[in-house]
Amino acid sequence: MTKGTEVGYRIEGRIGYIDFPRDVTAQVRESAYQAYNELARARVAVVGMSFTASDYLNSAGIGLVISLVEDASMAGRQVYGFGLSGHYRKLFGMVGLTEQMTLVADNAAMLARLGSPDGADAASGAAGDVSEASR
Amino acid sequence: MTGSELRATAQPPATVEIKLPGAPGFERVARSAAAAVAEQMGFSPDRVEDLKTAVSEACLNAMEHGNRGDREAQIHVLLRAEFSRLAVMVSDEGYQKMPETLPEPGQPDRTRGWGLFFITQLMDEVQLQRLPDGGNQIVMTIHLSGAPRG
Repeated sequence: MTKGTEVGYRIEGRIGYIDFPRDVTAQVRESAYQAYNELARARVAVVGMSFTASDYLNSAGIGLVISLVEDASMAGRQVYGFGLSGHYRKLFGMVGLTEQMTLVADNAAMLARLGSPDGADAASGAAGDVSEASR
Repeated sequence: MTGSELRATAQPPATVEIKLPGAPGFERVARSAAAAVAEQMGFSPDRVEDLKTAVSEACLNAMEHGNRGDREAQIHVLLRAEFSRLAVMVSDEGYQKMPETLPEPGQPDRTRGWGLFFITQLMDEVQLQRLPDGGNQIVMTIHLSGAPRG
């Protein structure tokens, strides 16, 4: 779990959460990869990236998110991000992240999406599926 | 006339000067100072967020490239508030020359090289220049009349 300045993770069913800390910078790279690798080992179908605690992402931190999203996408996992301010949603769009992951307001919104007919398959383990919303 | 214009025209030009240690994390000081000045001038919250990101990235570039990670080397930040615009100048020691032309964003791979891209996308004007003492300087300007970028 997160120590406040490191990236944490948790697994709930087929969803693996990555909990980003307040500052998302190059300094959290190692703990982010460790968290993601735990989720990959657990073969989660959906990765939910929580930025609820984050109030500062710099370009190195956004680059880190890109690398995690690219890996997850290549493995056929759906990727969601939530808890971002409007400014950081804009930056994610600028670097093309919004083409590879689905940004929603919060965890409840992600779960609602996954509960829809399109999302239910991925949530129940079809790791190769990519939802319409994340294309 | 909007509230922003009223507040801006009521203030004389002002300058804030900051010297930062060259260690990552201290960019937060410049970012907070720039945000405080911009808020006082009447910039919208969206524009203040744009400015905070641009200032952070300029300081980080100066630390990583211009000062080559030397934590003893300083970063010089000058905020110049004028009636309708805010200029931010970030200077380093110039251990590594700033590129004369902007590099392609997301190079050498998609996980790196977004700093200057964000700055140019978020600010109204950006200039890169070599100082007479050999340092690099980036000058970023936002205008009160400008719309949020990106």
